[in-house]
Amino acid sequence: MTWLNTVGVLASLLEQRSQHWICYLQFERGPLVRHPVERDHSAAGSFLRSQSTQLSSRIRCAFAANPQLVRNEKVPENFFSAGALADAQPSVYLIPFFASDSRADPHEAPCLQWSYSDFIELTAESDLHEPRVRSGGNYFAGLKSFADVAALCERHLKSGISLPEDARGGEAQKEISSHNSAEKSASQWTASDSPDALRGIIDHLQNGMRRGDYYLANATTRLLGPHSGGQRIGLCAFVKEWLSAPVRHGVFVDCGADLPQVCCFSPERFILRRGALVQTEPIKGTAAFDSAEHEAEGVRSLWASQKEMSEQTLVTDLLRNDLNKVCQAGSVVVSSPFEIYSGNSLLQMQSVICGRLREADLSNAQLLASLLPAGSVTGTPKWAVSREICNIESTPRGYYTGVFAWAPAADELDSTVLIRGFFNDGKRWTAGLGAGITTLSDPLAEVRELDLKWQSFSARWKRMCDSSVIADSSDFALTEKSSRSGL
Amino acid sequence: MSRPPRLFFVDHRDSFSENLVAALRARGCVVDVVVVDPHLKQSELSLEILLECNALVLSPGPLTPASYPFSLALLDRWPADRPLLGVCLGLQMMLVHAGLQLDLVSGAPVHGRREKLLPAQPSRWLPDNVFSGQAVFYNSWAVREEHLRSCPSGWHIIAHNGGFVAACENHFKPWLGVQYHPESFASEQGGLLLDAFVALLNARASIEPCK
Repeated sequence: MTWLNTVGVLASLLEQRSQHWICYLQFERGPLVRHPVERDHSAAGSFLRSQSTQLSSRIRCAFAANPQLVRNEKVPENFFSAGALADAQPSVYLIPFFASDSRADPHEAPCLQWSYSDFIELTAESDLHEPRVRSGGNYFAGLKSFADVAALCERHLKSGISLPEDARGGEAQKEISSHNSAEKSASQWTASDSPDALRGIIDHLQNGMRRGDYYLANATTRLLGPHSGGQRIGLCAFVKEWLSAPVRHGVFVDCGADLPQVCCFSPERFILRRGALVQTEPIKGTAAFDSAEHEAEGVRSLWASQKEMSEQTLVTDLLRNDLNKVCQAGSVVVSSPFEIYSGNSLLQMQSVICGRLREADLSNAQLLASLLPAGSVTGTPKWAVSREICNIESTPRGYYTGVFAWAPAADELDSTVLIRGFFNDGKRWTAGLGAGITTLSDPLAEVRELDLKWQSFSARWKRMCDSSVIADSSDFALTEKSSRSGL
Repeated sequence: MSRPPRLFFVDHRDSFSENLVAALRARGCVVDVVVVDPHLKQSELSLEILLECNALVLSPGPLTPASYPFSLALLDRWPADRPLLGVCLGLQMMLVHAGLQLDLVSGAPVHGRREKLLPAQPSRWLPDNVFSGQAVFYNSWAVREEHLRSCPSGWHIIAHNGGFVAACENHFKPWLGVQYHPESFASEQGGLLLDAFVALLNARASIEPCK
């Protein structure tokens, strides 16, 4: 049994202790294949790959219990400039998409920051290596090593509960599930834009690009899901779903009914920071493959596609530009361009760009403020195209294409672009889909690509709903007393 | 030891400008960045530092030169003996200022296309090899090669691609323009071009120091 199984058990145990959780799961794999020839011609010495590989931790499972909301603000400028004080403690940021030169929009979702003191973090090079454990706060006081965690989970299992398959939710879910059937949980998702409307948006953006108003635009649409009163997703259901098919970054935020809830399975890192080193990994270019034999074919077709290569070139230069705002001149290099990753029946092309911060003590909030919105979900030039996106998309993006950031220390941060996720804004669940539009985009093919992306993660919704539904509460005999003694 | 070259960098709010600024700073230049929005009038910005600079750089950017009256007006004031580098929109500004017209490169211009530079006339100001290899283009508009060839104002083509000007310079003044992006990570000789441009500045600074 790998240690990740233990994490599944741990999640079910944690879920019963507290209603409010933030959870960050990461599974880093090397690329399927690196591009054989491309080099960073702008920098002397071309490849500096060593910088990038040292920065990634391979597997990380982090949980923060009852995080404390420290800031909840609508105006991005205020939110980021007030950051210095709050930045000193371990923080989590949840930031919606916003246009880079926007004034406060009353419909905009708020920027949120939590601090946390009760946390546990397990990290390891692989699922077979024993993870290191970092923990803090009263909640996890007894858990200093993986042996402690394993022993706790063992005791938990011995108390007669088979987990994680029968994992159950906390108090909040008990209430909901009593009037919530499995059919209801799997209720239909409906598109907020018709295929015709989407083609109209793509057409409009392509006209702007032909004129030279902007050179790449990310067009997105929303899917409307069940009303939030009808369904909440529990921590354990989320963790179990991620474990069953790990994507690079799993993000779970559930800090009360009055705050947004996020269940995201994102393939895309935004910014990684370790001290003065920063790294970003934008994705552009997607292809589907149905079997291992077609994998190589898919790689070749991505590299042979002028549309995908030019789009990735463009977004790589855009993210270099953004890192150059905060990095030492000459330190920004593309350490690994045009890599192909595979996962969930999709191949994706990404580049790795790293640099060294000009000011090593730049706060995490200032770092995020300098780089947001994420270039891969806007286009170039960022200000022109993000304004256009806000005008032309039929619904606000909310947290979709926003950023989640986990900052355990003032000079340490990892973050994720919130795509392939489910978002609850307090009223209903929504999901978003998007595609990079260039003058070469075939509108029909782009609409198909959206569908492809939806297929790659929509099944997760039903599986999470099903496992959030409690079969029979008498099966779960763990009392408040016995559960407390476990930690 | 001579002072590092000082550049007046006009940023047309492009999302690639920082790459160019960083590349020039990494090569030892002091770069003063002035952000110029479309339709900004000259009177809105102070130009005190302009004539203290050794070189002028016109950044890439969206739209066409006509949207930037400020930058076009700068070309009237920039001394003929001081170097100027125009990138993408910046090249278009110099040629539009010289009376040439722009055309769309195609019905569906591919932004981020990587194409081979084809040599034309040798450069008077920089080594020829820096205008070669594969280069990345982000433009919708360009100047047709034949239009520049028939232009009497001292401009000539150094490299071309697809019937359009890819690199050009003025024979009488050290003003250079590239339609592609030398600061892109995928432009093969882009780094060499910037090396050579900064070497030109250093060489000139040592013989005719700026006041």
